[in-house]
Amino acid sequence: MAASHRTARVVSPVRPRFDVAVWSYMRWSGVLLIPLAFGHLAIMHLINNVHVIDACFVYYRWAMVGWRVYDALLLWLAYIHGLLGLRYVIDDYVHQPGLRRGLKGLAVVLGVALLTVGSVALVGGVRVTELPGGC
Amino acid sequence: MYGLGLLLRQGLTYRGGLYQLSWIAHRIAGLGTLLFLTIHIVDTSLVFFAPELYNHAIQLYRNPFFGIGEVILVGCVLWHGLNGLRIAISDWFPHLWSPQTQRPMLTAVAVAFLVLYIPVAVYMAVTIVARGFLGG
Repeated sequence: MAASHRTARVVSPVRPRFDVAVWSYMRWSGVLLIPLAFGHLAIMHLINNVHVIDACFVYYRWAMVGWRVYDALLLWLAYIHGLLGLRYVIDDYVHQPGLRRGLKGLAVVLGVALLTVGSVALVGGVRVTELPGGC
Repeated sequence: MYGLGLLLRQGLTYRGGLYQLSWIAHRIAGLGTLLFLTIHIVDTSLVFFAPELYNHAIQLYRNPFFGIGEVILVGCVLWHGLNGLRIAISDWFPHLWSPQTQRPMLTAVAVAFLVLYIPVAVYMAVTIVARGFLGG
């Protein structure tokens, strides 16, 4: 009995369904992110770059709803993909249950905060009235 | 918590060859991209919360120091995406997980990475020199 107690000790709760869902999400979002992220890099970091981009550039870009949808897809798919990847890294290298839970909790808080902030900006758009010269 | 030290020691002692190297690069590239993304979501959101501050942030990014970071970022996204595609396709068709098929697939990933990244990195470097160091 004592031996079985020892072997039955569970370090972290196993959630197979959640893990399978994450496994699937990482692959599907990853494949979708290839055209989305590569396209974003080509348009915003190569064809255009930080030397031509400013608030007015974003204002005219976001005047087309399609680009806001594109950016929203990129924001949600990429950031959740990234944080779930971080979850794998935490599981691989952090073995103290308390620290592991704490770091994962921090990742969830970060995810909720940044996805909220990013989505508010995408819906609200560029506040041109706050710019002295306008656009 | 062993962290990066273990990862690097494993990389030296566990001889997984190119496959293991591709995995380590995948992980580091992913974490690097996540770090950038966290900063990038905050700075872009400034267009709504503080548009003037957004322009100030972009002004900082015009510094060649950030330009070099941007070149590294593009390399991270390219490698992570191309290598990730290999993993996703192999997982969907598990018979591909054999040394006979993985070797050409990894070669294809490496070739695609170099073919895309070298001209892009050169183009970005030219921009950094012309607009950043020389001012434009």
